Amino acid sequence: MSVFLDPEFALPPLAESVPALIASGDYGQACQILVSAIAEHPEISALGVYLGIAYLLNGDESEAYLTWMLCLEAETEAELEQRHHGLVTVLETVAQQEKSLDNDRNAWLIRKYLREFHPEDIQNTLKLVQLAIATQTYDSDEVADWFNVIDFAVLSADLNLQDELLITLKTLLENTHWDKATQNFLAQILRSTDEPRSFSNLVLTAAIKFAYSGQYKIAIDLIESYLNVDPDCLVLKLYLIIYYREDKQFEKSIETAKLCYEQATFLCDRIFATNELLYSLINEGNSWDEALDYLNVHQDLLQEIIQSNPKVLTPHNVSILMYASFTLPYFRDSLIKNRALQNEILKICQINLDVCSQKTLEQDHTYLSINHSFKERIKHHKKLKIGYLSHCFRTHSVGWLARWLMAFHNKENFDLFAYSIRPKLNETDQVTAFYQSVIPNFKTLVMSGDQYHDYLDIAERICADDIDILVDLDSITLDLSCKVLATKPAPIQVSWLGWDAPGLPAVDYFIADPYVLPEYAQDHYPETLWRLPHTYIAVGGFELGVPTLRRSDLDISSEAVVYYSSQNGRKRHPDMIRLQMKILSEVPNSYFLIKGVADEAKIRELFASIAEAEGVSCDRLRFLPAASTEAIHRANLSIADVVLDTYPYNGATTTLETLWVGIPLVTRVGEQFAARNSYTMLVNAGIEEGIAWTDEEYVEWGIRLGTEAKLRQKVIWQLRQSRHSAPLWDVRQFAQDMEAAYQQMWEQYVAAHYD
Amino acid sequence: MPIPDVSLANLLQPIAPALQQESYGAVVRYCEEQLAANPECLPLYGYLGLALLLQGQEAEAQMSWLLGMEAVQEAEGEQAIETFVAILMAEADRQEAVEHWPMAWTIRQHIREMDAANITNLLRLIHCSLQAGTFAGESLSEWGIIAAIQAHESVELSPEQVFPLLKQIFEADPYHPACLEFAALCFRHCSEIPTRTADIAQLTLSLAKARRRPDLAIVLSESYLEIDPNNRNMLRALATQYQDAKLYEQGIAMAQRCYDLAPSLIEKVFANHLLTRGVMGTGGRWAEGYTLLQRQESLLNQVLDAPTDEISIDSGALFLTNSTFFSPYFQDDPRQHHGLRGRVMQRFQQIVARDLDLQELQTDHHWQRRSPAQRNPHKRPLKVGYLSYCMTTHSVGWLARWLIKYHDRECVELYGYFINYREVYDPIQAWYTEQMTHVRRLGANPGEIATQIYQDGIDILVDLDSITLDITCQIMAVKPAPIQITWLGWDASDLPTVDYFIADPYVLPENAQDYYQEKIWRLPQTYIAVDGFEIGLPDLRRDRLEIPADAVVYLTGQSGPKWNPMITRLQLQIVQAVPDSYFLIKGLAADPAIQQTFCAIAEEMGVSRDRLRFLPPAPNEATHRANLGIVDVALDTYPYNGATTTLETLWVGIPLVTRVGEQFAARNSYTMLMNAGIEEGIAWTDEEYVEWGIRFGMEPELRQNVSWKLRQYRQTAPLWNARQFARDMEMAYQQMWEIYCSCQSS
Repeated sequence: MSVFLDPEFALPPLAESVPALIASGDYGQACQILVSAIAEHPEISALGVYLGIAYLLNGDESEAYLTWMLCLEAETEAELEQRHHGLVTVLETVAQQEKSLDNDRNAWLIRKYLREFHPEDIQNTLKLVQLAIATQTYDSDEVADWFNVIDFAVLSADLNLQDELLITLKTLLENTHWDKATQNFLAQILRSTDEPRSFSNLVLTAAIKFAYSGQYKIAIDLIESYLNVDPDCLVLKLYLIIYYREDKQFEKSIETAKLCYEQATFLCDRIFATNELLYSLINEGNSWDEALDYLNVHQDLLQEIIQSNPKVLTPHNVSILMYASFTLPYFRDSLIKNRALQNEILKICQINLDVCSQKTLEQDHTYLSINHSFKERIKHHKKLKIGYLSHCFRTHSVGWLARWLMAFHNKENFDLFAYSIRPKLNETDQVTAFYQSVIPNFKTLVMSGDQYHDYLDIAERICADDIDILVDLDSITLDLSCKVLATKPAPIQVSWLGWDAPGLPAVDYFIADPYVLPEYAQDHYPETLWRLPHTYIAVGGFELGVPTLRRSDLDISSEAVVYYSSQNGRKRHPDMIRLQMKILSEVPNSYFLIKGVADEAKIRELFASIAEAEGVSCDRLRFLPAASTEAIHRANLSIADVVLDTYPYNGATTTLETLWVGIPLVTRVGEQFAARNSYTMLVNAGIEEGIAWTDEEYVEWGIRLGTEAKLRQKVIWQLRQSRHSAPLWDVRQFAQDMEAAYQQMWEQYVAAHYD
Repeated sequence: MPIPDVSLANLLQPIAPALQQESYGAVVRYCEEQLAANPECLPLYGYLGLALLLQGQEAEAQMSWLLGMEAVQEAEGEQAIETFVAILMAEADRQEAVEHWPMAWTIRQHIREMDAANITNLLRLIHCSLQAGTFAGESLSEWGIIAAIQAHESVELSPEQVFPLLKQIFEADPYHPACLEFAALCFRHCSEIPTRTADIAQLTLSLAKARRRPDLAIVLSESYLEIDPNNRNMLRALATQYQDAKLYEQGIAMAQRCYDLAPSLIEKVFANHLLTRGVMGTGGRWAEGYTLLQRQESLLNQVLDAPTDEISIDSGALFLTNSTFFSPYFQDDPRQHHGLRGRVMQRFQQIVARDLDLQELQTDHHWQRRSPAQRNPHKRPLKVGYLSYCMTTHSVGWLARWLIKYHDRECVELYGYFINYREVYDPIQAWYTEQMTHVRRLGANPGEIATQIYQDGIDILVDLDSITLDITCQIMAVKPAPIQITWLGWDASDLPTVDYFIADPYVLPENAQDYYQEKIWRLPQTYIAVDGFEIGLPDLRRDRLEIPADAVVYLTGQSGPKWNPMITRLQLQIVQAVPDSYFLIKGLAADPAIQQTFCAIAEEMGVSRDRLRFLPPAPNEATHRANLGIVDVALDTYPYNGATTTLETLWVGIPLVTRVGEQFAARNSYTMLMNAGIEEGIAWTDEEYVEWGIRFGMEPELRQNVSWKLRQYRQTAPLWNARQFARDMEMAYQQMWEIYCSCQSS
């Protein structure tokens, strides 16, 4: 009983076995001993306290409470205080003992009563909250009441509490969905602490996690409540730019980005700010001029970091740089310039991440730490193990498109693995369910938001599975996947479908085809370009709903020519809108239907201003709301006569959908990957009409397809016929082409290592 | 030392009242006290255990019974059990009487442990668990009831014991195999079960229809027929179930048995109908079907020549309703079909009016019972009731949803009368129940349903079933609503109580009113419209079928009763004439014999077998529609056209060749083509049919042009404008109401 500060609380020899009996769960025996001990030593109050505990843990709460109340009967104020002290001390001791035995439920029960007797005890309340979450008895209102009676002002004085506060905050953030109690708790501790910054990392991790699940409003609220207390915390403010934008609060996002840019002193932070500012400006829809100014600033910053050749970047900084070239292709179609910047930056990322990984690698990363010998790999080799890495195995455009390859993969010849990066386990999503059903080894990897460890943990899993070829579907659209690739968990690494190539030295191949990249492209990629014989993507069709749009509902006559475009605001470059308006102005009785995410008022402004300049009346434009499902959205496409593609960033899924539904498309072919997507799809659907190599040709095709009904009819007919034979719709052939590529990559790898 | 009877009675006397008052503690004390003096008194142990059990002390209860057994000589062990069981049985009965099901269940479980072969107890145990809502099929084997009955050959159960139990068991856990096994045993051990045949037939019907499990219904019917092999009611049910489960051979054999056993003309009529249904279901035995059809007509004529009072509503009148169902599949002769059906349905109507005691529903009362406000010719909203068993995943259910969707709720107040409401989840039924303002989930009792409609005060009752369901016919024959309409499901029923049949300018010829009993109401454009169809992902490609990409691909999508050798000959004539053409045949893939028949005709027509492709059924409708993408030209059937398939074909933009005839079923595709804006492919003679088929094959320009028009006209054609169609229907309802009001008030 050495834990007792006061020998008065010690148990007499007669009852010394009681703590051990309680620990072993023998409450009946404990009761018997205690009752007889009390008869002998009625003055030792610790006996009563233990008796109450034995009752409590035996399930008799009212008896327990009564027993403790008897323990507290005292003649004087001083005696009462002493007895109270004894009671809470013993309860605390046993609670700790139960916790150390992993009896969370018992510890929770005892602490609940301990709180009744001592509600101001912060330490106990914090532990109680953690236990309530662990035992799934957490009740938001109740916990809010507990916090209400705590005086948080003492926090700054008590350094011992720091750890408990951090753990409690972490537990609350991870488990409560940002409820009132958690909000209140965070506000209180931030208000009373002298060092709010010690909590900023937790707040950021939690915000990232909420954002991963698409809960931007919570992420925003969380960060805002932190910034109320610590308005200068740049790292949180930077993330706020993203979350405002994703929540469609473009104005706030832009404003915050500018503030961050002004405030930032470190180069990476400035790059973060300008990069996100650019993205918000173009997504908003009508700030292209301003965006072009910032593009120059951003490029200068990128040059600066390349010149400085940094060697000690944190994983957080690496994440920033991985995204830093993301917006370039939306502005300009310059394969050479855009790739040069991206390749340099990603090289820096990989070098720096290697340094970080060496520091962070821990004992549990056994596979990653070992240098796998080529001989070992060859010795046991039977079937090729292909691993697919992505955060898009779900209702997401990449998820919809990649499912065909998975469905038609030859499972006899290949061992298939999928590493699905998701914010939580066991989500319900129909596309995810499909992948789970067709990929024998489908693994969900949960991202915790921890930028130091998440990527290593995932790479470790891939390494442990001994994957031969790792196929990435994310490129630089997710920093986490990109970091996994950079650690090179598989001997052959391939990037496919999700975006242009990442430009990472650790990636060996980028899957392309004869059309999607120009002939000279290889000079500008660190990855080897692997050109499949026909197409880098094939789909077996799309589900169509029943249309909900009719021309008559839009006040458009059935004879009118309807042009259509459904794209995100960021793909709507004003130069292209100008060309589209030129088409409209040349085609009498024509209309333009515009659909897609952006700030609707801004998009209207943008179109209106250009339409006016081109002499097109605004009442020939129709802005459509989002359809309730993707299937209905596709069915509604059939209202259109001609779809006008975007440039320098083409549609991809939208192009496939358009061609599947059988609608002529006009696209402007460029140099970079993003500017040649529709081109390769049209060629692979067997269509030449609508492929424009210059702005003039784009306008020309637009006018021709609008005015020549016979031409439209011919293209529609060809599209219908193409379903029987065109590579774009031949998913079996495509799967075979991919498999042949994997085999050849493996053979090359083996040959290279034998030499 | 045995206790004399009198004193035993005295000794036990206080116990029963105490139990009654639930003073279990007192009983325990009393028994314990008395046992001290009479340690060999078995009933005291029995009651002591019972009282403990009732207090929830199961372990102590068992202990006291065990002590009782030990207290008596081994030889008396048997007697101890008897004593305890008697005590417990009495208490279990008492608990059941006051509906304390869980306690009665517990007591019976203890009886079971003492006396596992006590069948009465086991049956009651099942009853208790059903009442307590804890029954599961596996209990039947777990509790040994099946083994217990099997072990006693001589056990005789009464229908009162058996039937209510079976009914509830199949409600509680219909899909468990032990339930079927138990039912079979019950039939075998209940010699009076034939008195409940109608109930058991009802049970199989509910399994087949409401639960969508004809396979289970078949097993149940078969085991019943084992003990009552000539029961015609069950034989008919089984024949239908076989056919619904696509077991045509068994279905035909069973129908033949019904026919052979039929003691009356009317039963022969129905058995012959079942026989035709089976033969036509196979899709390849047209000639046989035609012979049956001729027999059907002669049988019906004999029925009509006999006096009306030979048939009553309980002795087969319902068999009249669908007796003429197959005529239009064989011949395009509406004058003759409606002539015969009109007479049949008139006879049916007379019997219903004579036999059914639903006098207050008679036509004349509708107007009289209405308040002046309800007699307003401009009344809005009108109460419109939709009556059908098809408001589910059924082609009629798919098509009718557009009207319901676009109905203006200020113009019509919607009542949904769901016959055979499905107990299992059905997405379309769920959709309808959401759409209807008033949902009536109904079974299969025509009298009840008609009364419900009458009580709801429906202004216009719209029937979607016509003669495809006898229940619907009987309801319509009672005339529960002042205005009655038939729409969409089938041709008009010819019932004298139906006022209107909904048509359009094309689907019936101009002179059709001459032979229709109902007033034909022609909507301005089309009698049906849809906004489109959901389309899935194709799982067929030409290369998978070894068909070149540039070949001409024909499709016939109709099978079963719509198939006949005459139309097949015309289709093959087309295929034969078009080089590099292929013919896809959907719906015949399952039966090699029928494929043989088909191939023989092909050979005779000079079409090589390797130009034919028998397609397996698609996994669902959405995939089927997507697969239509591989087709160049669809060839319709005649004299019974496709309906849903025609709509689907036109929606996905495939040209269709149809042979227009005289009857409703032979003009469906015609009106749909006209309303889709297409005249190409409409053939008025066999020669034209072949001509159009060949032209479409030889002229890609023509196909392209039709395909283009189909697509362009989606924006304008009446067929694809369901909203406008709903306005047209509402306008018709309003006018019908005005006509009714003006007739009544004049």
